[in-house]
Amino acid sequence: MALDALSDVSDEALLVLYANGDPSAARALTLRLTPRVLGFAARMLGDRAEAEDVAQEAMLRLWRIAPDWRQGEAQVTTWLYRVVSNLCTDRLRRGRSKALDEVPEAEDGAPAVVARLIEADRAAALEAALAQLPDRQRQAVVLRHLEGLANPEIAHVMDIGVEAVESLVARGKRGLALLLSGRRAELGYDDED
Amino acid sequence: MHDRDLDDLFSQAHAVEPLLPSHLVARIEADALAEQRARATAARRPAPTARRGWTAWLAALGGGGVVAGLATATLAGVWLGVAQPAPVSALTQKMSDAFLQNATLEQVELIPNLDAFVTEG
Repeated sequence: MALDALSDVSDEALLVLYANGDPSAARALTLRLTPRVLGFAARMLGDRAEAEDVAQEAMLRLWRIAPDWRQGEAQVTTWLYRVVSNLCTDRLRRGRSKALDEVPEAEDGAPAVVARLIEADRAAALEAALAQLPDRQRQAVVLRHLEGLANPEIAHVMDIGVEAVESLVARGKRGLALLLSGRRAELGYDDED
Repeated sequence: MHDRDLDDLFSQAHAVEPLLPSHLVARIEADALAEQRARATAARRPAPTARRGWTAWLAALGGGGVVAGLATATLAGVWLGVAQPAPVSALTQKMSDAFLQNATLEQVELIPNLDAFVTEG
């Protein structure tokens, strides 16, 4: 089946097609789901190469469970976030994650260039601050504010209650605010009061 | 840092779609197709071949338990024929006598002493 024809097909239906031997469903699922899996893993681990390994492993587990997938029980993305979450937790426990690089300094230049650099600085600053949060807080904040999941879905991914998710997100945000408080001017927020 | 600054940072980061390297796509797709091929091969694998010889014959009879029962019944029959216990020999004698006298089966008294039990008094 052509990829365009699969763009409106749900993740679950694609998984059924894949389990039935449709190779184009494999490609459609790969292109649709891997960016989210990779992004989440990268933010959790702070290491691109490790995040790629985790993404590949998580997708491999999806291919393997496809024939036994019980429809209607869970969303494919929620299941994947949970797998990625567990894989990242394992790696973080093993202490293999590397520290993020220092945030680069912005250089002088034309306004558009400065704006781009500020944007890059902000992204890098956020990543660096996230990396300093405790694992569970980072996980909750990333799932809530960067992956856009609802609290009940995060609770399912993290295997905790919704109230615990709210608490982790709140504490994580407070931690981020504290970590970034000294860099407001550097990140271009000083003139926005 | 204010909440709105944090929200701004989040929305900027959320808007950025992570780059998907082609080598990773290739690796993941290769895994997917390998899993598909492995399952297809397993599905095409022929069923186990049928048993042949005396094991197939035993299975056709109903298995080891049934064969053991048949063997026991056969041995019991042979033993009855060879040993000829008194009750059995009396019965066969009655039958052979009746056969020699051209009597019908209804005339053969297989339980001759039953009258003693049904006598009134």
